[in-house]
Amino acid sequence: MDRKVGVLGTQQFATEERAGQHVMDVNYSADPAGMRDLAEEGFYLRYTLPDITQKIDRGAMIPGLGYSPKWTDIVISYNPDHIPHAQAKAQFKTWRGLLDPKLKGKIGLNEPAGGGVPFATFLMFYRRPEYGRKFLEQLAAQAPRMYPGSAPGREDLAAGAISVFIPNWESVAMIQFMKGDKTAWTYPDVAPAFANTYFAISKNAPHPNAARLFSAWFFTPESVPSIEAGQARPTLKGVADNRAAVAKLKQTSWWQPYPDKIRWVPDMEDWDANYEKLMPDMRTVLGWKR
Amino acid sequence: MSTSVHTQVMPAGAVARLWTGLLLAAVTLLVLTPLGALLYGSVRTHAPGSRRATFTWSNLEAVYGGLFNGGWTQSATLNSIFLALPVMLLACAIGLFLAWAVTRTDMPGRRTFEIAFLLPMLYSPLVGVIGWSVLADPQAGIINTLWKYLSGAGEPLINIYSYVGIVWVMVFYFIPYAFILNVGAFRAMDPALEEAAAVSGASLWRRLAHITFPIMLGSAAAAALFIFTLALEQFAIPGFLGSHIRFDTLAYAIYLRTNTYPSDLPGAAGAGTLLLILSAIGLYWYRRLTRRSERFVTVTGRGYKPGVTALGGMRFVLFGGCVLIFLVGIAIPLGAVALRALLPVRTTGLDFAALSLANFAQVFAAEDILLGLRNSIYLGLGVATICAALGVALSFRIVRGKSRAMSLADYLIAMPIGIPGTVFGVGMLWAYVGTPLYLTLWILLLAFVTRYLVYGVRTLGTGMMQIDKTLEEAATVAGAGPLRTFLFVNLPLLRPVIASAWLLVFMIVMREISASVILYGVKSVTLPILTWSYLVDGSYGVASALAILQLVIVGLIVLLFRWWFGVSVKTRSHD
Repeated sequence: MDRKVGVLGTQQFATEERAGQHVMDVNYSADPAGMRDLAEEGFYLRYTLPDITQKIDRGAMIPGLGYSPKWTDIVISYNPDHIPHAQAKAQFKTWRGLLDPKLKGKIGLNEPAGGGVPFATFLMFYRRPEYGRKFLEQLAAQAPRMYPGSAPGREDLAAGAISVFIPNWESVAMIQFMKGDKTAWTYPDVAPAFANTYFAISKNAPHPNAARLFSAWFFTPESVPSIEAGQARPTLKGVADNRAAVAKLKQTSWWQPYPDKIRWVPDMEDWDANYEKLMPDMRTVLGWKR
Repeated sequence: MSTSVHTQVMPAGAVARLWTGLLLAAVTLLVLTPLGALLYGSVRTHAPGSRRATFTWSNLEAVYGGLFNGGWTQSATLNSIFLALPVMLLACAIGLFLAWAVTRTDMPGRRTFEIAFLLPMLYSPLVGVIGWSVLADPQAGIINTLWKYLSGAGEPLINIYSYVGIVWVMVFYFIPYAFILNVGAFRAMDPALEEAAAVSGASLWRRLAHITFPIMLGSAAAAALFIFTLALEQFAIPGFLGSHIRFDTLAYAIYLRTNTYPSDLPGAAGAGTLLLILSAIGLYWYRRLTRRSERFVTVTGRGYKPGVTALGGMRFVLFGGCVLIFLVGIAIPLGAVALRALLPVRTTGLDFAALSLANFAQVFAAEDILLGLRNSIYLGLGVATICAALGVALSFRIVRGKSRAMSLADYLIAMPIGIPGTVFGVGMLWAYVGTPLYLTLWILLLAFVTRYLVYGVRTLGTGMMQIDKTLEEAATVAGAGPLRTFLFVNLPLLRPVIASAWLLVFMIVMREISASVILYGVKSVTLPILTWSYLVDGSYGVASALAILQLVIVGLIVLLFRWWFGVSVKTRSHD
């Protein structure tokens, strides 16, 4: 198993296939847009996992092509040394809590080009009528620190360099919590929750049957412990939440289970069609020169 | 007389042409295979090989047109140049000064400093960024917290997230390049001119300004060219520190195009050509500056002892300056990395109770740590040796041959470091994916030799410029053939410079990430790839622990090499 996920992994798979090098059985891709392109080129097996529509939500699959075993849940992370838990919970009931003048210069943002998670979050602001592009302009006026990825943002939040960091992944925040990180998180009224990484099988997989079995296994109850080991929420329906972090978080005063009603699933067609236009606009709003 | 002897010294015409032809063919094949793939990719609508890919100028139009019509390359290119120029000037000035202090003075502790100043070359620039963030974050950095506590000031003392902060981190990152590229040349320099000036009553500063540094112009220019080129293609430091002030460089903008989806590899390849042109301009100026290599001759037929300048009481002042540079630029940020390695998670303020070896334990428990270490050492030894050997052959032909063909080779060799490593990696992937080399250690070896051969050639080239041709002429008069002259005259004199070139390449390979992240396979993982994986996962503590471990291992190898080679360095003069 190679660990190259993301854009480079998908592009590497594509380059191999175009050269007739059939190396990968399963491509675990975090690039759904790239996957569609490669599917059109005929590099992916069109397959349907048995009973998959009963097992997982439609938002966790690209029918006939890719299936995601875990949710990526977006949260607002904060440093409780700067913002007490009760205050954070009340203030960040909506994203507008970030516009508090007291937070000027104390907010960290993962920049829009920093990956799918930040882009999905900013796309949500653009597409939700209660926020819109105007909200991003107001957020920019708060002089946020911009981070090229979420990892350095989390580091600075834990160090107290900033008071709030968005968008953060709940599963990663939980991993940090298990290591002793004191930062906490809360759920606003609406937040992107989407399937960020998909299993897709190569049309020319050297081991096609094993690839099917491997992919299918991730949608059985037996796979849940392995997904939960990374503190991620499985997409498989009807399984109890047995994450170690959740058990520990239940003992805290500030944590609450993820409220499903806040889920906002990005429209991937909108994403594909408008990325080239929206990305520079988001960065311009946030202060980059074109 | 001199002319007729010179004709005999040069290899016979046919042999020389054969040598030149072979070397040129090898260089052309090495360099143009991946770069050709990139150029081809830059004029395709989709990645090469895609059934939907068609010919287009649109990528290049966006890149070059964008420079003038406010496109995505305009401010990024200007930022890159405004960053690379001061970094080049400052790093070169400090590196040259340190190299002089270590090799040409009686400053105490100079042997220790010679190792100490190379430490930043042993870890990834991202690790340096971690160290500086821990120290100089305007809100939570240790230095600023202490400053605010002690002075009662509300404003930070230093802000690493600023243009000055980025320049600061990059200068200390590149000083070792200027240092190592000049140490060998200083060593090979006959002190007779300096001594004559001293006897004539010239002060130390006057000797430095009018004799020492002008003679060193060749190697200083080579260092400047390297640093300018590398600063242009460096994406990690400005990418991490520059986001806070919305400071995009061209290399970072290219990195984003390869790493965010939907990706734009043809666009990234097109922008890579712009960086190639910028670095070619730098190379043009370097070649103009050094076209009369006779000006830099310091090793002549007359015997000399490699002496040092006695500084009297000033040597302690110089020692203090070197200690300060080492502490500020290397030891303190490295200490911050070590501190981060001992913290499982970052905490507000310094929590000494939280210190543990958990991150180191995680590193040792990792399954692929030994595989990564073994692969890194194999690659380091192999690539450094090949680049040093090819560097000797190529630099000899470039400096002594002075043919148009070898000038072309000189430009070709420099091209691969002119583009960001990630883009170069994509070019290698496109070029070699269909070969049996793909996903093996061999493709990494090939990639690194292609990319880092220039270090061997440029370092050896400056060494070659310093050797007076009359030595070769004397050997010829004494009956030695070209090969014998080369083996028994040039090679021994070049030994310290070969050692410098070998070390430089070895250290760079031991920390290479950007191209290998594209090309590695399950069995060809390297230590820097493991560090990178931890950084991407957000495990900064584990990445810091691995970086410290790598620093110790590579440092020991470098020490062993120097201990072994040090004997030869002492005997390189010909008194």
